Amino acid sequence: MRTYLWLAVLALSLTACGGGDGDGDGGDGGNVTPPPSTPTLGSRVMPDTTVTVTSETAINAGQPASVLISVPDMPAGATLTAAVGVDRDTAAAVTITALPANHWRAAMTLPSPLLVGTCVLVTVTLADGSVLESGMEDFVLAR
Amino acid sequence: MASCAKLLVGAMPLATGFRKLHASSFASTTYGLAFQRRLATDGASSHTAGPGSPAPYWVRIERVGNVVISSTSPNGTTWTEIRRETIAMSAAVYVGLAVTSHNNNALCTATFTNVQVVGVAAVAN
Repeated sequence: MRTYLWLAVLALSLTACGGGDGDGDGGDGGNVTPPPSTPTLGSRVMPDTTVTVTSETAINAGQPASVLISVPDMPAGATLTAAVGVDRDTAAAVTITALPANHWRAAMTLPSPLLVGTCVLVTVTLADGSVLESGMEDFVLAR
Repeated sequence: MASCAKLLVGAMPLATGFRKLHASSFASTTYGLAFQRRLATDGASSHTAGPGSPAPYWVRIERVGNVVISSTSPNGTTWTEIRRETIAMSAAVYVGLAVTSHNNNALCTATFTNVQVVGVAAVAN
């Protein structure tokens, strides 16, 4: 049986309430910082978790590269993985190394050609199995 | 860290249990756009970020059989898919709108405009 349903909510507008959740951990206090000349690819707030990705190397097609992934409010028991690609279904998993203070280094050889829209996809899997996935526009390597 | 309000639209099946199956597209002032779903009753949920654009924005949730597709649009004309997921739902599902402040101690206000439900045969309770 094939059913079809779509629901469109158009021109959503919303007024955020004030207040805070007060559950921050007060920072990581670690010493892992990217070199000052390297660009931040982006930062994305997902529910209660902020992911920031910074390039540590030049971004050139076919060349080795590494990015620093920071999740200062990483939930206890959560795990992190990363992939690189132009869409979720074909993105290639990359090797990551855990660093102190909720940082990870992802090392990769960039694809060649390096297509516009190639991005780093970060997935945080919480202890209860819940998954947080970054967006395709959050950490773009080639624009 | 300040919490935010978010909007969800979703398909919720006629299932028992507190943490029901659902699929939602939402727009948030803090979290941007995203697709959230729970594939099994009382199971874990998944969150896939879409564009970081804050509300107001256009969002859509589409069901084709057991495939649910979440999309967003800056103008209501050109749609970009965030992600699709296969969710084994019953034939009859609920659709609706939801608002949350992400803070149990605070209320929030949201305005929905241009809501359309297409291709649905209403089922009497």
